[in-house]
Amino acid sequence: MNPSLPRRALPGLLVALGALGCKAEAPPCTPGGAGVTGDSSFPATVDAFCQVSIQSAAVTPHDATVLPYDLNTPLFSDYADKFRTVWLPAGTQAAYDPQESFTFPVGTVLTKSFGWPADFRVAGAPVHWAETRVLVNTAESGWTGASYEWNEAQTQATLVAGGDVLSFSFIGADGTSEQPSYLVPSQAECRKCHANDGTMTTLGPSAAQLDRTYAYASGPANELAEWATRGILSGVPSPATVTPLPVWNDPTTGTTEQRARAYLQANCSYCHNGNGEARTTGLVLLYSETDPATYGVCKAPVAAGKASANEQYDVVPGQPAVSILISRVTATKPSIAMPEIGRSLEHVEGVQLLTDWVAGLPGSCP
Amino acid sequence: MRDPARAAQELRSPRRKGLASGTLPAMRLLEAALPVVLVLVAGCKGSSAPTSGCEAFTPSSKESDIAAAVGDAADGACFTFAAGTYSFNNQLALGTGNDVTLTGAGIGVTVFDFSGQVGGEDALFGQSVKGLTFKGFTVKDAPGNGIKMLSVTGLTFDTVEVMWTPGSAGADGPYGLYPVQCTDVLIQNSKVSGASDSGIYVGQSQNIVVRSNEVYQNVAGIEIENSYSADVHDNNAHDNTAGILVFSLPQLQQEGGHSVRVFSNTVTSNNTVNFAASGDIVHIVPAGTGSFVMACDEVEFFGNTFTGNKTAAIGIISYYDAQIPISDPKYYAYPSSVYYHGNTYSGNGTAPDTTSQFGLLLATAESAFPGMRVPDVVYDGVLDPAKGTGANPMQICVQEPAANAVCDLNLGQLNMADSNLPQILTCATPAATPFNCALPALPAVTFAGLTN
Repeated sequence: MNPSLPRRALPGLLVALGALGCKAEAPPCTPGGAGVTGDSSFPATVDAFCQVSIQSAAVTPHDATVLPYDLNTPLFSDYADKFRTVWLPAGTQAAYDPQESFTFPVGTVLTKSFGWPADFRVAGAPVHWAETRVLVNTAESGWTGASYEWNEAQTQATLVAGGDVLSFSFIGADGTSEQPSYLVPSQAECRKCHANDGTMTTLGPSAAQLDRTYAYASGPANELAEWATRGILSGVPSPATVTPLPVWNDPTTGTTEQRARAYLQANCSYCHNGNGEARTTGLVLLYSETDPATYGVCKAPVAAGKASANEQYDVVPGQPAVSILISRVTATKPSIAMPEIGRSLEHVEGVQLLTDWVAGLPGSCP
Repeated sequence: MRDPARAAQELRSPRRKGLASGTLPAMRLLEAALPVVLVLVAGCKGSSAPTSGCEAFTPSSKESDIAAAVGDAADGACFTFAAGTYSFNNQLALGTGNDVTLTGAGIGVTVFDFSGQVGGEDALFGQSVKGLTFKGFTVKDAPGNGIKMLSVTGLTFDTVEVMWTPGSAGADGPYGLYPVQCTDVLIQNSKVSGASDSGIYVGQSQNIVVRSNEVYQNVAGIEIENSYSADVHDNNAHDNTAGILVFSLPQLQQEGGHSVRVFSNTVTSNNTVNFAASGDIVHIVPAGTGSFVMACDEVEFFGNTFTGNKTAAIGIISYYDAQIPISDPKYYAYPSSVYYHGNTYSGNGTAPDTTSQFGLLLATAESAFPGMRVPDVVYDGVLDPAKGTGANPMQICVQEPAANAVCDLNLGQLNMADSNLPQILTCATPAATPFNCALPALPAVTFAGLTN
């Protein structure tokens, strides 16, 4: 690489190469970080990464080195179907951590695609994909991210550095017609959830979230075990020693309280932790938090303003109707709704789980 | 779609990140250079924002282009916004650039209209950078907060307005100008109206100057909360529910608010009905409050003019008055070392707000107060048992010949629901109370880049 060449020109060059290389009839391009060094160096189109494309309405990994994964309890995003992938440079490994997100090597690329079928009641209905978000771990800037919006033909996704708001409709699993104002985040908004005290981090890939079975092309396997087998994760203990995060909507994986706390972990704790954006509120919603007052029980709000909905405490045992946490996860008005971004529809089933949890809590507030 | 014009601009602009690979070592060299350079640069901050060589926007600019440019701003980047109204559908989030400046053509001239915002709790949001300056624009009708800045060192709001149109759907955003966990904060020549919590709210921050602002028709005009070293001066707080609040609250990362000077402000007719949600801490504040100091240490009020605040000009209170249980062992709930001197008072305490529990309590004792009205200075008298039982264990000093009276409500002996206040309160002229004492003057707040 010629060091005198302005870096800004490189992505364009790679796009040109990628566009040639990624055609089905041409030799495949090579998955990678597309020369990204920071927020302002993302290529114009997602194919430059050679991570995923859309084939027959399915997000499809470019090759076997781009590994799909799922989480035990995911973030709710207006009922979107999601497809996640991880890719590590050849010969590198992520480091296992029993609690936190894994530490990934420089060059790692994560993608997450968001789409909706026209009608969730129709099994196997084709999914229309709206966006693919890309996180790249760079030597220059650490983790950095951007989102790409798919065209109508689902053949190309283009960078939306400044974000977008999408209006569309679909039929939910319960037959309700939904019209989200779906937010495609700007690059700066990636930091709203991914920045911990200024440092971008990954949110999904942790031991508790990946301790689950995935239906790989080669057959079903535990995700942690598969990552170890493929050599992309070091220090993996026997899966039997890992405690999986309960699956929020699978009662066989945990009690109502455990699943509700898992839901809060996935949907709230990226901000509501000691270093996240909501650290100024004193409300910590990590699954690992053990102090009830710290996860909201009889805790007075601090800066909720009108969002406190004239109620006194975040969580009132036995009384979901007067618990601010319940009213905020139910609300869809911006500034009242929690999470703050990424949800414009009520997650009826998630709210029901949290409501059942609060209703079953013993005790009362002063 | 990637805007080709913008891409071309990025190629041209020497300020963009990720240009020639040789720039990085050069930058580091500069950073290590003479401190003199830094002082010179810092000296320019706050007084004049750069406008030449900036990326310029007009009301016809696309929101996505503005968001992309501001969100990806490199260190030292500046943006200008020509006169007119800019409509936003989404919050405007700042990125990782340090020393970034956004400059409009003036309050009410460059208007950012957020009434159509569908995502985010704040109109403008930024975090974890050094050196942000906002100058010369209005943020209008945001569904949530106006401008929230988290963990920024070197933050300037100069001639910025945040307003909510009365009666509009968005007329209830909680905070206008909202720095939290910030250091070296200057807020000047700005205006906030219509906030349902606080117009200018500085929380969990340190080294703060709030001067020459106008705040009106908010619940709290200015609130300094859980913060260290603040100078609040020459502001005009009028027609809010409460003019100026200095609070310290529990269950927060930074507690024990202290070293706050409030001086040369005009605090007039703050009698607007309290429209905060009842779960919100400022909901306890009665309409007609000039100022409250709650649970803070080392606070000095001088040279302020309190006029026509119908509940009371000055309240000095413990968090216990909020009647919210405290489950935070590190929290200190009492005000201490609070010093009032040289303030002037006129027409306050004439009609306490009986819709608030605290105001109602005062109203029940109206006949027991000197002159049959709430005194200019009200102290709740809730004492820290660990401080002993002296005449003035909390060091509350009120050297105020201009005040009609100072009353100690002795609420430590009283259940708020009780109606025995007239029997237990003690009132006197300022010279005759145990509070006729002086405390050392607090030092002026200084920080790099602050000029007069």
